[in-house]
Amino acid sequence: MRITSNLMIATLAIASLPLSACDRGTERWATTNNTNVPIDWDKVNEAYKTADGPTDFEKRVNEIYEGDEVISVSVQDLPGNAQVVTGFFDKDKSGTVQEGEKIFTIKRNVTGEGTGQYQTQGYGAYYAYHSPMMGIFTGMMMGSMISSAFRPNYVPMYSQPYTTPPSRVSDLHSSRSSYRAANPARFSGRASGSNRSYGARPSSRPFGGGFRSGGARFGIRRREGVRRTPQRLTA
Amino acid sequence: MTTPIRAIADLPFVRRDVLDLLNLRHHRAAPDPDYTGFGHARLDALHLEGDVGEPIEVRGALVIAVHSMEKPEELPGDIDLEFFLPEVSEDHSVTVLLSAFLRVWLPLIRGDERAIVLVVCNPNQTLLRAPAAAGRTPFYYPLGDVESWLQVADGHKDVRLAAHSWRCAEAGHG
Repeated sequence: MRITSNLMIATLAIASLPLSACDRGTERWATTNNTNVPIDWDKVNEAYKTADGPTDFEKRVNEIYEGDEVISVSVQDLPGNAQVVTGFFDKDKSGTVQEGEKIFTIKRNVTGEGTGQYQTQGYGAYYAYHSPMMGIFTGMMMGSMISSAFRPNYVPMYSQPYTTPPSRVSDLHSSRSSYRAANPARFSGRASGSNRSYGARPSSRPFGGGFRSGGARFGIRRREGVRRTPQRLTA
Repeated sequence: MTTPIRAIADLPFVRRDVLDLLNLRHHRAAPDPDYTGFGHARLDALHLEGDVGEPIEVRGALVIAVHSMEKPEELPGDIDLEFFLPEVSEDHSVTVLLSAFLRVWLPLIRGDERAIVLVVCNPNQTLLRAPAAAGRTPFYYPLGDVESWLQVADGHKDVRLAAHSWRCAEAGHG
């Protein structure tokens, strides 16, 4: 029954995804009461792996998130060099994670000398997301937020949790606005030849119960600032 | 780092698990627009979804997944493809015309499939002919961009490919 209930919730959540960029027009970044804006979880996971600290991570995760709300972050170190990172919408501006505000948690454990793992779990509208357990080890490209846990002299810095101060939310919003302005191809419509959006199209397609998981788009999207001259193969 | 690819036949166009090929192994709220994986896979059944009408169910399919260049030039009956080859170097890519690619690769990967499904963004909505190697096997291709989705319901996982519309090319043309 639990699974059925979850599937029903997921169906409702995904069916209420916003319309495509073209359909939404100028409302793309309008504040919404629901928070069912797609999140690129792969990028969130990568951001955690490479972040140099909570403020770096919260900056990155807000650049990834395509909605209007600002995602606040709570980081708490636990015994055994474990760490829990929580992303949340600080709706009541309390600077603490309240029931119903949580978007995701990332749980990191150290499993041995120089090895560890982390896993991301979605909440609320994103409850359907569970990442695989992702391994980390000394020598990987990691930011200091993770790699510091492997140091012999490691002292947990966030036994008292770090939480995005409500006063920083407006700074994050401004910083993200600048980021979006500097990346118009990403945020003012998809850079596809047909000017299609990704992410929300299936909401316009009829489908039965259950939920949908996105895979890929099969056209190359040029990355900002990367100039390439591919070689042409003719035979 | 490996030697740069010099010929179409040297592309690492390998058979892959369909969930990996279509980037469906992990849950995402939306398709990844930066995915550059390619290859081919066999699938017992999948659905081709258009903007209107009922999805087309295709059984016994050979799925060929490649990527069109960004904003490809309009070419009669052809699409410019781009293959990213990180094994050569970061951001290294090569371009190939779809017709040339299929002329080389389709004969090599053909089996007893009942249908061939080409997964590639076709933003110019170019009308294609079935490659000669398709023989009389139905050759499905999209008009518009293509996204892969996994629909999960009642314990069943259903691969869905969404485009503006899908065409089945006539057989026997080169």
